[in-house]
Amino acid sequence: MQKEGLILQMEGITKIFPGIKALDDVMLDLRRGEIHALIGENGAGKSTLIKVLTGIHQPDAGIIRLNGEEVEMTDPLAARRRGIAAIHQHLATYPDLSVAENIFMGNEQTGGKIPAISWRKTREQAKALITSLGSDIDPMAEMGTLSVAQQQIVEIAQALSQNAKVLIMDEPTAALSLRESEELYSIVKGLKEKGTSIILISHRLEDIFSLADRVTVLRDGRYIGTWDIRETNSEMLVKHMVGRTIDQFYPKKTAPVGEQILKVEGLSRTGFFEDVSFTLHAGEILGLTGLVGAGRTEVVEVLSGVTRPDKGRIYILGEEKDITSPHEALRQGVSLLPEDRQKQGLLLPWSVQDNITLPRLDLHQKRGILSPESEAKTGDEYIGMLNIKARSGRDTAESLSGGNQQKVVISKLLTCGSRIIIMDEPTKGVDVGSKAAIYKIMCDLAAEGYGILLVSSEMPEVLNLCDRALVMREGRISAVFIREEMEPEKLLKAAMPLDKSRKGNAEYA
Amino acid sequence: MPERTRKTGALSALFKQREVGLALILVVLFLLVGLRNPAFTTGSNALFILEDTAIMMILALGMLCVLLVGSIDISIAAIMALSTMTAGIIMKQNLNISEVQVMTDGVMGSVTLRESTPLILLILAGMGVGALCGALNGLLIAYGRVLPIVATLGMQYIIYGLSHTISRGQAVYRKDMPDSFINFSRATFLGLNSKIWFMLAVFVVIFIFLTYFRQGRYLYAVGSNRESAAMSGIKSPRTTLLAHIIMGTLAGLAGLLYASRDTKITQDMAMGYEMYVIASCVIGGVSVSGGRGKAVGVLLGALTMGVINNALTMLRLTGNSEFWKKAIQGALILSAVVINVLIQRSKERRVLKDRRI
Amino acid sequence: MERAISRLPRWMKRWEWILVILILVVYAIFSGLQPENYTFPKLLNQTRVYMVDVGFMALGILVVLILGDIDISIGATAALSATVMAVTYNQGDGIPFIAAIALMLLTGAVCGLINGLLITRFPELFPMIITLSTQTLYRGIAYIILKDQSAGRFPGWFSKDLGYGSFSLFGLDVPIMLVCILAVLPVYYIWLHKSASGRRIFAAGTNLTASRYSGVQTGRIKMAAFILNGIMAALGGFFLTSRTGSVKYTLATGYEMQAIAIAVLGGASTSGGRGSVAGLLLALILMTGLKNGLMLVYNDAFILNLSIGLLLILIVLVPDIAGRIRRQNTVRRQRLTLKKT
Repeated sequence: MQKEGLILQMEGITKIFPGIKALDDVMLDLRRGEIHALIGENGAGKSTLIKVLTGIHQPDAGIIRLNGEEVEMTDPLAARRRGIAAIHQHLATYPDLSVAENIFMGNEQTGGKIPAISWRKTREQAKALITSLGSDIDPMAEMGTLSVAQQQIVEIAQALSQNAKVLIMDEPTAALSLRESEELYSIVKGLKEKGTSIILISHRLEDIFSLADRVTVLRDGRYIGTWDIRETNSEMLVKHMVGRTIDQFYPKKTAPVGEQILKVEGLSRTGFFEDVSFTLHAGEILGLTGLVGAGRTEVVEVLSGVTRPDKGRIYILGEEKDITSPHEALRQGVSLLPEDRQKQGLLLPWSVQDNITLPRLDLHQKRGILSPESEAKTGDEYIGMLNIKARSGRDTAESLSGGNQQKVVISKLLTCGSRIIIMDEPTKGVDVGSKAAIYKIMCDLAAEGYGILLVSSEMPEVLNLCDRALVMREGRISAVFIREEMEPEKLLKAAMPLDKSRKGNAEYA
Repeated sequence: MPERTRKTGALSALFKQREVGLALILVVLFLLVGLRNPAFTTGSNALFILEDTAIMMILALGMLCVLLVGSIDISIAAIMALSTMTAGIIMKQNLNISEVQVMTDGVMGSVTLRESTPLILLILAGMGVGALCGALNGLLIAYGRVLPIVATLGMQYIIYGLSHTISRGQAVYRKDMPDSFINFSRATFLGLNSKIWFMLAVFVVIFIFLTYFRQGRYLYAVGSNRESAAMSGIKSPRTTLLAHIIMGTLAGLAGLLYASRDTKITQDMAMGYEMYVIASCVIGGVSVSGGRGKAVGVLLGALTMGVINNALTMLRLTGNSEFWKKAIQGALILSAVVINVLIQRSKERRVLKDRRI
Repeated sequence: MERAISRLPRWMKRWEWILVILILVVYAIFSGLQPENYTFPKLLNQTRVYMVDVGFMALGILVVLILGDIDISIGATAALSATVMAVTYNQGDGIPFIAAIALMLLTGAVCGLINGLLITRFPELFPMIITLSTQTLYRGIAYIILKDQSAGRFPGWFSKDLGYGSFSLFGLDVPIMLVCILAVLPVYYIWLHKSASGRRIFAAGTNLTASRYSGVQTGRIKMAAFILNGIMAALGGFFLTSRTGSVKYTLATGYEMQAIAIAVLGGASTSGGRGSVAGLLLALILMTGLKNGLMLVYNDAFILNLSIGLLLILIVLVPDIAGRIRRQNTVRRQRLTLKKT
């Protein structure tokens, strides 16, 4: 059965979650010592596939072969013992514990005959591993105090300590500066030379072209194909990922840009962003992009009253406003679609209609008592208007798919009647169909005179939807582009932090 | 710039340790009270404070384990009562009082000998019952997934009920205790009271367990990040269970020492003690959400409580009333805890200021 | 079986039905064992012991639990408030009784306010730790005021009519106290389950962040909930005092746990977002029936404690285990359909 040189084969993998087929007959094979890119849109099933491979999820169908031998990944430990290690998107570390301990947790270094942990040995071996990766992180530093890049190096060290044959990296560079990314990739290349097989999940196509040997595309939980990297180009990959050409996907935005409705001047929040100024107009979709951690989310959190700024002024419809809380923001006409839909956007165990009516319960009161009829009416209205796929308004929010959950959150915003709508990564973890629907809603809203501030990491979104785009870098706005000027390279260049070593920051690894 | 930070590195690293700050506060507190009442700062008073707090320290070390995994136990007073009552009934039933003629300084005199079940068996019985109670708590929380507060609240009722039934509502008094048990908390060795020795032994065991043993480190791992722990192959439920068994066992031991000290075993012994124990941990830098805390810190936290307690007596601010003391103590604990938080916050703010974006 | 249950209308699947069944079972068992003593009129008379004071405190803590917080200091709050009332009235030598009652309610509100302030300003500290500390503080202040004395001698209507009085309705003697709490319940029910502010309390308890993002003023709601909780605790102390006739600093010791137990039995969760006034009433009735019966049959505090503890744990444990089995079954069914295709 074993094909020459294959270390890993996954065949017919299917995984069902309540109400959704996350993976449908997906395959993936991995050669010894290759870097294999796994790409697809948000919600395509990449992370689920990785979780099946690392034993976090059990597949409902399909087989996994390791070195030609059929194996069952019953739990994460089983996968680790077989030499499969993963660096997950959300780092799975112990923030309260030391670097050395993070590396050897579950694989403690004991000192000879007695079962006691030898801290000297742990420290030395950790130091050796970290040095072999070309880094100088202090093995006794507390994990929670490290930067994301450093934490990733620690995770790689952990994988190495277990003699990982297969290393999976899920969006490792999402939060890294250019230099950090380069360093990470040189580590990855080094591992490849030593014979480690690597599965790389990344959004950055240019990274994939410079690193990977082969590429596999997933879409909506299905396997689309595997290609040698030399046989493909980025246009072709994007087409496979999206399933249609770009102009079908993004609606034409026709709304004219009107009066100024929001003006921000010199907004600062210590430690997060500094001196941010911009304007937003009626009928405009304004992009706010940059790397994760550049301060985009923090800016919109201040605008929507979640946190308070240290400096700066906010003008709404020409009047200076002090936005002290989300409650106040809604009253002033600023609505936020938060980044984390499940934690910040929805009450998951609540019904769709109860979620929708929550921001404006005052509209559904009769003599101080809530009217179920009025609530149901509003619920049904939005379910129809945004085409939310729910049997009724009484379905719980957690039973819906990601895209439909997002539509519920959008409904909540619309009930508030705010003219300024801020959307923080509205298509994160949303299937392709819902994505298109959300884009359409945004354009419709703009046409109706709403001003939309779109925070997004997805380049195509910014390029195709926005009238203007602000780029943030290290807490400051580094560039502003109007639609005609927008080019992927320009945006990327403005987003990439300057080389940090030039700032004289020696302690930074 | 980097050079300068390196030079002060060792010192600032020392001060970054929460425990050092706490120890300093403790010393200052000690000296301040000493200014008002010099008797306070004497070595014998220091020993007295240590002896007085030893039982609470034992309990706090157990509570540390439970808090580390992100759980809590509010049934410890009940566990103390039940395990001690069990031992008490055993000693009462096997009590054998005899008069023995002894020659003292050439004079024949009679001495009353009170013998019963060997002390070691009593201790084992008490600690065993404690461990069992702890195990039940742990099972409910780890495998039954009942919230720790609800589980231990329910268990508190059940354990009190059990202790009531085995004692048939009776208390055990000094007359029912053998000499060995009465001496249990009074014996001295190398000039130190047995309670201090027990506390030190428990401290050493817990310290070594938490620092050098896998299972001990797993307590931190589970409390720090449960999902990561699962990926590291750590069985969280088993670890949680273990923490509760340790707590229960130590509650058994502490209960016996408490009963021996007061020479009586009643239903309501140590009632409300859980509060002081949890407060000791919080002052000692243990995070109630799990993953953070050290045995040394807990000891210092308990000692702070002991010093506050003792200082209130020594300063005679409060007359003789026990509750005056308790009222102030509540306020002091609260301020200690709040000050801790404020210091922590200002630290974080400083980190934010220094942070490059 | 499972299918049949899932097809039932929503209102029939409510938690409260389990409590109703338990109440009937308890009644059947004890009226069988003690047909002479365990009768409805006698139970009705006993409600003054088991339902009123703890009932008020449970109503207060219910709101706190729905918010996902906890308050251990309500027993102490009751003691301090009743102390203030007794001392200021001073057996008729002080201020008028009605003013003393107002002061008592104010004391309760202030105690709640302090808890609320500390909890909203120091979220790192956990309500459990904070209220454990304020518990000693409040009871300590009561002790400082009263010392070891007990303060008694209230107006006649307070200790006689309110404490032991009852009136006749359809030939049954209904305690006046019971009417007091029964009058509060519907108001509470409508406020918590039918009004916008009630809905916001549930929202904040279900997901504090998402509620705040939705414009719910979570900080204000928390403050209000703790103040209300303090007032309800004071009322609990008020009715307890009318029954016992005097105030000591130890008044209502351990009542916080009883009140929490009642609220949890009634369907509240200490992790927030769940709780029901109807469930709370049923839990009160169940406890009255159970405690009364156990006291009649065994006259032993042990069985009482044991049963309450067991009930508390089982009632939390059983639905969780049932839910786990149900989820496993769903997944198994999905796998089966997968294999068929």
